[in-house]
Amino acid sequence: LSAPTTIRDEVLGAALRALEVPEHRPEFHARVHYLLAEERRARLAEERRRTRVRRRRIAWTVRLAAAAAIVAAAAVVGLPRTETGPQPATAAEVKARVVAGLSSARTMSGEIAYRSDDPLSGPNSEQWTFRLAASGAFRLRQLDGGNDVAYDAAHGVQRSLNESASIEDEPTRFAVERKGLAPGRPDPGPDDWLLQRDLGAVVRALLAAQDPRVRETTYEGRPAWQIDVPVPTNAIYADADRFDIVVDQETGIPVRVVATLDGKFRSELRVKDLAINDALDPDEFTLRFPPDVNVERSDLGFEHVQLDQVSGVVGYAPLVPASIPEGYRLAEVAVAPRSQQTGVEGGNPISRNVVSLSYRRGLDQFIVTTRLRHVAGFPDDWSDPLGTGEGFRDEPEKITLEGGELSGLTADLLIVPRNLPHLWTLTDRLVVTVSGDLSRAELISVAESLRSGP
Amino acid sequence: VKPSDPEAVERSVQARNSAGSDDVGSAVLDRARRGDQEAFAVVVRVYDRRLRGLAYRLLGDRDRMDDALQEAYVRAFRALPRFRGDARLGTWLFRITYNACLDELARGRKVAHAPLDELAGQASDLPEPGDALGTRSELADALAALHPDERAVVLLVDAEGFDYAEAAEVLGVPVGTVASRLNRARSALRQALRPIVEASGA
Repeated sequence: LSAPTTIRDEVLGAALRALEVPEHRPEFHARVHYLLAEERRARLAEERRRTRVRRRRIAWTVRLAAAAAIVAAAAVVGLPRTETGPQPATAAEVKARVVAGLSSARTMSGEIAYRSDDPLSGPNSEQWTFRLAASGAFRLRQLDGGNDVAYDAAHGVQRSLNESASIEDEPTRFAVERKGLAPGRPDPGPDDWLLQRDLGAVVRALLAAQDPRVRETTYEGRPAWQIDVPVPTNAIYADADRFDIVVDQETGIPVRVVATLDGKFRSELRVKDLAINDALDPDEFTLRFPPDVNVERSDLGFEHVQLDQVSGVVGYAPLVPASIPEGYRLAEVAVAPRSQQTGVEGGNPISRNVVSLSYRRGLDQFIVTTRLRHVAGFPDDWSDPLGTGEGFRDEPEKITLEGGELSGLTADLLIVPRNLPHLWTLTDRLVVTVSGDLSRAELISVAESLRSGP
Repeated sequence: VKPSDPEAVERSVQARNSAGSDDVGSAVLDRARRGDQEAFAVVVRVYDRRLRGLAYRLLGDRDRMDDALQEAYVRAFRALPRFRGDARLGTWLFRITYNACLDELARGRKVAHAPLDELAGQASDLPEPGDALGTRSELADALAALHPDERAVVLLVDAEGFDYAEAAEVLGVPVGTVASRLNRARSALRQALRPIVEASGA
């Protein structure tokens, strides 16, 4: 069918143009000028914040990948192959062991020591303690600095005290309170990806992709395994191309990883005093600001509701998985009429009418999200909502979904060491993501079971 | 009332909008994209009269028109760095304004139309066949009586010179919907226009 030919009624048009249109109120332009100045100020602040986050994220990515490699190595190694000792675990057994460990843990705590020698920023060292719980609550405290982050899962509030290391003309400490957080990516959630969600996801990704070489060694006088794991290098900021990992044999806990690039030292990470299922004081997850600190508060716009209330808020029935991996349960339902743009550098259209369903199993989590595809003022041009950019260019696997509401649609599936395992697709109306601590088969299974919910 | 030659109409639209439909130079646009407020003010000056026309006819109230345009300009300023030029700048701005007007309408206040006393005694550029002031009042009333979707489409196509595809882009509807809404809107408005049509001998 061809588009109808444009026909105009010139007489009517002339009469319509002749209708009077009032001038603006006297203060209109001054008000617009003020609003634009505010917008510009906010934009600059956001750019500075993103620069800060980007720098930290790149640094943390190195640490994250290192930590993930440690855990992956521990899982892969399992039990040693010796003449008289037990036989090595198979990949399936290792996966089962890792899944069982993470999915059954109620709490985890310990200490991370990190040092690096970066050609750009020079030598650096940090020490952190961490506490996390299956509810999603966590606390990260820097032992040798002023950084402290706490997420109160019960109230959906994250508080942090930070040192402004990258902004010299600002106060040395600033306090931030963020509420209205989403359960997690691709929407703005708590900053716990280092320890909890992404760690488990990266473990699975590495287990699926790597076959590391294992050697016997000792570490601080104790029997240990040493594993070399090659990793892809960041295209923008060459960070590391290999991790040398040491795992304590008695506990199976990874205790050290050294990251190298072209054989040269880049960073070292140690995990100490790791404790599983210790009773943690709820007060551990509460950060109280000093009275003399200005607090920057923000509301990310997500509200927790019951599942049967979702359609009343967003105007469409949520897509709910009819089948989920054993042990998972629906933990959070969050909605936002409007949220931040997703994808690489926030390049997607703004998120409207977002639904985020979070499922938890021990320390594992996966999230199903939907948002409107067509947004006024934005082209229908979507890229991976969980795309990270930052120099990591990963080619997704194209799959055709064969069941449920998404049947017949092509989805992009991505399982790589440095991102959450996830898939995403577009329906006529929605952008759909499934992401988190799931294997490839589980991701597909969940996606193919999505049905319009209550 | 005769169908018009599209090219002639386009020329007349360009001439009519002396500020130019897309007369914002690329240098100014680039500056505005980078957050230069003065450059953005130039963009606003070029389009403000036309956007006021759409907003006022949709909202029927000067304060609401200003509220919607204020919001539209902030949205445009915010989104301009991502404006890729796939659409004409004018089409893009009209779309943002139309959406801001819809949001304003959705806030629940009753839709009004231009008070007649605002029209009384005002000068007109229109040739005056007979009682033009009275006709304009009737036309304004007839326009205000239309559904906002129909009002928007007749303003965009007949008053602003958009073609159906551009109007569809502004309104976020298929081209066929533009044509059908336009048909309904014109039928209603032509009744109010009859004195002008008859006086002009069309």
